[in-house]
Amino acid sequence: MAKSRGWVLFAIATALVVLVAVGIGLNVQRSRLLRAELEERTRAARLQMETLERVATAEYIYRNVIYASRDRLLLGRLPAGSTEVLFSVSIRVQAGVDLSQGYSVAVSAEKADRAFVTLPEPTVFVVDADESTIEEYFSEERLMRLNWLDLGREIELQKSVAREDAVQRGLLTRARTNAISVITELFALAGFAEVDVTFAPPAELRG
Amino acid sequence: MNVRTIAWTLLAAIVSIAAVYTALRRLPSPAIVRHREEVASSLLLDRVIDIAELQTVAGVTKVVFPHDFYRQNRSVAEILDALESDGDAPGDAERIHLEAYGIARSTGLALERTDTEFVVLTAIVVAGYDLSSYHGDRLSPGTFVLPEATILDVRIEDLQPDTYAYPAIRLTPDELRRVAVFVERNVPSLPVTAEIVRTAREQAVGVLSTLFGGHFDGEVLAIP
Repeated sequence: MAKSRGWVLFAIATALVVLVAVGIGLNVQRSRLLRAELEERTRAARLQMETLERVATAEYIYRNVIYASRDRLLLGRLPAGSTEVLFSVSIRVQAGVDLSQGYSVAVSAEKADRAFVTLPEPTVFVVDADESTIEEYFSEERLMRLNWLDLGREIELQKSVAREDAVQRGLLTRARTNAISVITELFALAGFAEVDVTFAPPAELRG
Repeated sequence: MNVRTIAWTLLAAIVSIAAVYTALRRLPSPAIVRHREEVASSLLLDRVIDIAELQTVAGVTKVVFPHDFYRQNRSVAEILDALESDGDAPGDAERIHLEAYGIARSTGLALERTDTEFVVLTAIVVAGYDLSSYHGDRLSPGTFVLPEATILDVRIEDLQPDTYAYPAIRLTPDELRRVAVFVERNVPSLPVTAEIVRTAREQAVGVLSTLFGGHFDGEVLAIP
């Protein structure tokens, strides 16, 4: 009786030892596979980021209306009424992150499915006035009365006004929020459960 | 070895096999990975919708009232003549022109595009996606069809006398309010609004292409 109990205990102990060994082995294997899989995905996400260069994440469209008036003078001296000009032009202000300025990607040492991504601070990429959208009011002869204005200089001024206004209205904040969302999704698609996105000046990323 | 020993040994073997089986189940076998991806795909649609909804474009549009609402090269008399001779109801553009003319007439503003009495208001137009009731996946499961962007919000900013860079406004507060209400209601009819809506879609297409590459053809996303 005692002998058979001994056999039973021996069998159970052996089974437990085998079980623990198999468990440890499988867990090590599993971690290795997961890490390899995530490394592969990190590489894929990096590759995809390399192809992006610029990620435009926020945009404002402006339609500015410019008014100017001047007195008409007869023989250079006598008042002969006034000329008024009113015209509109569309301006596009686009912001986002320029990955060509550098970025960094690191995978957490503690959690293999957590990534740390550092992006360059968002900047304004484009301030573009579309001259084909210029529309003159008060005249059916397009732009005929705009000749006396330095149109190019006025449009440049409007571009800088639009840029400043867009930044004041939160263009860069929105570009930052949207960049976090896009990059988080990019890494989520690569299998990362947690993605911490931060921003740094380009000089730090290049260094 | 008696029967009891055999029973105990069998029990130990069963426990061991069950434990090994449980451990094996935790391995990321291809079948398990596939299962995980199926679950992820069903969640992916919600994420795609969230991404699309983030793609808004704001337009800061200066609107010249009444000029922007007058149909070019047509006077009110011509519009009325055409309506009378055709016997048709006015279309949107004619209706807006006539209404703007009515307000301009009662407030002393320009009656034609060549007149110089006007008011400039700033309209903020936000275009993008509200996909809270998106059901496209029911029609074609496993895909997301990017709809056309729409206008999400229009509001008129208060006039700032300090920065108003146009001839002085000679309207009473009530008249100015009437003009502002008209402009807010009719800004969607202006060409610049169509440009804002188009840009919102271009932005969404750009982001979805960035994220999903070949799975997205510019309109339909085959959820990977």
